[in-house]
Amino acid sequence: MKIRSSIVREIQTGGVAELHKYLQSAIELEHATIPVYQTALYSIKPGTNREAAAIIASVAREEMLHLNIAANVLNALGGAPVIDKPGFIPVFPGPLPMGIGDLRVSLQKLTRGHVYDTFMAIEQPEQSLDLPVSEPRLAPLAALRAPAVPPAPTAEPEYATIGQFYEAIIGKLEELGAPLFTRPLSPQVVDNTWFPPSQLFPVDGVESAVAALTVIIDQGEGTKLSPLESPHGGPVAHYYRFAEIVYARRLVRDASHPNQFSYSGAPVPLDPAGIWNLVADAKSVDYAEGSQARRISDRFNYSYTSLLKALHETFNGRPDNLSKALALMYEQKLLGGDLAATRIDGTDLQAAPTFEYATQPM
Amino acid sequence: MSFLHRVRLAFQGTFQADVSTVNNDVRHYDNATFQPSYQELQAPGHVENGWWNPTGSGAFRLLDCRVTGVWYADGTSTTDPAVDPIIGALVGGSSDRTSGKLVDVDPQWQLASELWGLDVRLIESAAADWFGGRYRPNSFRDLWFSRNVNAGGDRAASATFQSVLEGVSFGPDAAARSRALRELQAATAEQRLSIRLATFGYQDDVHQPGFTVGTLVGAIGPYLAGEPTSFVLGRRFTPASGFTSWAGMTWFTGALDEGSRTLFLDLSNALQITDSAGTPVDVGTIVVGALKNAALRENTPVSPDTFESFAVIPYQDPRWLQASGGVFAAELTEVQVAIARNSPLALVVGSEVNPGAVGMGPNIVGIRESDDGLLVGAEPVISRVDGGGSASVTVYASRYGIPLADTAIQIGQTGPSPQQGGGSPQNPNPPPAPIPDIGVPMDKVELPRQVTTDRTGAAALTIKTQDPKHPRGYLDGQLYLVDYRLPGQGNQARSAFDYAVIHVRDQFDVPADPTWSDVQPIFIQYGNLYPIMSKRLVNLADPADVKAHAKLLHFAFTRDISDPSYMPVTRDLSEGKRRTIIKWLEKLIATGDPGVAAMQAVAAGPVRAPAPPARPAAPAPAPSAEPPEGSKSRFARGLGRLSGKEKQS
Repeated sequence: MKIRSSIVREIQTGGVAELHKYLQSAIELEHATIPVYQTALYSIKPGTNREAAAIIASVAREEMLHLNIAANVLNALGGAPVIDKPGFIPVFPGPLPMGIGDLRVSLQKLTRGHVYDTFMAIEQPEQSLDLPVSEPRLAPLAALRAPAVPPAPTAEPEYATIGQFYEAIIGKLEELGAPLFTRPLSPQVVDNTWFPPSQLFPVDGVESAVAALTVIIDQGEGTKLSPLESPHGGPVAHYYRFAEIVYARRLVRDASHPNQFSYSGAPVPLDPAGIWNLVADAKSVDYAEGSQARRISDRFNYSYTSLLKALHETFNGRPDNLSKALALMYEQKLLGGDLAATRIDGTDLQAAPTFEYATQPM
Repeated sequence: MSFLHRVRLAFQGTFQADVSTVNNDVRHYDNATFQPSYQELQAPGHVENGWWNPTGSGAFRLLDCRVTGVWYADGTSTTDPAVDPIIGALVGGSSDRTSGKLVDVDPQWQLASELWGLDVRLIESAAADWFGGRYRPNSFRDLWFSRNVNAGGDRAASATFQSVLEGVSFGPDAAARSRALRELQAATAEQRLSIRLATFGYQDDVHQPGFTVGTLVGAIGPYLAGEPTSFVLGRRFTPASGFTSWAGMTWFTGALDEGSRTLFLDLSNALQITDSAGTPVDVGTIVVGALKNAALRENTPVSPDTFESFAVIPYQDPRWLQASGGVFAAELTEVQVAIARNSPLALVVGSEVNPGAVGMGPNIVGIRESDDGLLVGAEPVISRVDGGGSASVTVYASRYGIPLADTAIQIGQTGPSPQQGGGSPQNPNPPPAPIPDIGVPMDKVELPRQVTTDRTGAAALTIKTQDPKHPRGYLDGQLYLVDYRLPGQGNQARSAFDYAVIHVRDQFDVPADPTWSDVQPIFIQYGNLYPIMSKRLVNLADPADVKAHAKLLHFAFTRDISDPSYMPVTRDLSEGKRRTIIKWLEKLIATGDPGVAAMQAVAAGPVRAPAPPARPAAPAPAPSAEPPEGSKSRFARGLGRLSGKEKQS
């Protein structure tokens, strides 16, 4: 994903106010990807397309970790994450927070094209590695994505990646140093039930903040030399994990290739029979008043808004509320599955969540 | 005084009860004979499968419920938001945790469904509440199946949920801005509020719009210290036989507040209706008053000599039920209070009654207060006990609304009852498992023959239990129904399903080192009964999937029972089994259970689950001309075999 380079410059030339502002944006960005990935997940019929479902779910889960980390850093800087507000949710279809206009993100059922165009674009590293694809009919897709010869450096690059955005924040934290960390009353949210201490730990100073933000960069993009999150190994970074769906194979070590990896592992099949034909970028107004789709959609949005509220409380001094948020995530999963299994009256399309803020309380 | 109080608010709207129905047939609890078809929707030709909502989640939600009116301590009221800003405000559930849950205690007792984990908030805006509290879990009462005269099955049924909101907190300026809330806050005790919901017009046909949704009218008033939380110890009206009087009226309760000389009647669940919205059946004018001749029975004419008329009930006014929340209040004269104090109350039905001058002719007792004004009630309705433990129930008695002190209440078990909680006899392919008897062995429950009330009319009833030792085979524990009545009281004095219901669980010792084989039968049973869980979240029958979700399961099994995300949703697991599951999950999380790793290899075959059917678009052609009978009505029909008591009209 391409972020306006002016943002990176603003962080680099700014101070603590800019850090607060863009850590809030980071929280919004990390959240913004979740509806995109979840919609694809809901489109998968239970018990089918297990490999693809597991990949998408694993990435969505780590986006939640990234949100948690960004909020922890903001709290450590004396800021207060704002999660419970209508503008927190992006407009779909539309750009992601801080994104420049060439990536229009859409809520769609799972298809190879959607993963290729959107999921991989969101997670695009600064420099993606050229890794061979063993499925011959899918290899041309990879060729389209082959890293272009980088343009001659100009005074002003047009855009930055998410990784560069976090690097800019890290740079500013290191520059301004310890006085930034005002040790606010807001406690850190560190529940190691769900994420290990190597990924989720308290942020109380420059060192821990840098380490925490580096987790985000590495999980999303991998390292510059490896598609893995760490040069020492670990899971495949998000961009390459999604590529496994597109190229229909797991990414495995492959000594025959200079970059040491290729998409030649176990199959990652995509079975269209196991995917509901979800309506794209649905809005509540698309579902007739009183229809089953509308009713479930309203409940979904209420549950989703409740989740944002629970998360807001969690990251504003009440870490114990994470358990409420967790339960709401699973309620949302059930309601999302209900929606996907619901035919829209008079069509051959299935209903999809609209991810709208429920301004009308229930 | 509860919600039957001068200070109160009324609200109306709809509710969703997304109950799961695979567990409606007790035979589905038998793992050995369970078929995948039991997780499918019922089909034409009385093929019951998993009944009418096999993928229900158990969720209970208040939907679009809004305040319709408020009443003040001086007897005045308003429906104008300019006068009281809470008029029109939403009454909703939680905003930051999952929805409440509606569950049966047991497949062999489906007539006291309980609400758990429900928050109730009076909502000012997305950011602010007028007040909020937690609904104390309890079951519905006064269930009847013939309220909507134009519907059948559960769609015709109606019931009330009365409880208290606990830990109530009012918004910072609620009292300053709303007179109703100011007076409510001043009148109520123990940070509680009394709440009563009446639920009817439920749609249990998946092919109809509004599936799993019904109509709700509600009332909220102050809770006063010492009063029961789930019923009103007041003036109990009882039909002469069956579920309804000749005028189509069922059990309901009133209260006489002598201080304000106000007579209250809770008619939210009392009168028949013609549609799911609650339009009343017009039986003619209904007058409330007192029988000066206490021997006068239902369905007999009254005269000015035998009946003192108090007030006309405006139930025929358009949307009276919705506007009032079903609460009728009339201010009486001193003379009327004196009569009402010691005389049975009655609703008299007539076509042309002049208030205060009831004539001889067509004015007939539509329903009357119980004999001698006696009321006996118990709470909680449902007790869950591990074998060897005991349940504490409080039994209350009153006469004409005054607590009966130092009075004996008889206690007894209903004894063995066969065939509870099966399916339709017309099902061409019924589940083969036998239906166990409930109520046996009787010696596992120890009851006093009677309890005696204290000064406040309350008596503590301690029910001691022993390990029932698997009397039901494939189903945990045993269900016992405890009857309570004043000496000489007949069956009609209490609503048909009023029992203290005790679920006694089999003793289960936590193994020192639990393994998959210890938890497998429990997990498989839940996986069978709750397909939404097993198909969408965790396949509890698959050790690999259980292992992958071990932390999530640990989270769910360690919630407090009042938490809406507590697992199992039915809250029927014995503590021994629950601790075994937790202990095993902790072992699995810490070390990985080698037994599971072995099972995993077996389970990881290329299983391709069939895709679930799409929910049909509405309107869709109904596959059968006959709408489903409905779970509660079907269960109640079976209950006719329990004792000699008439259970259904």
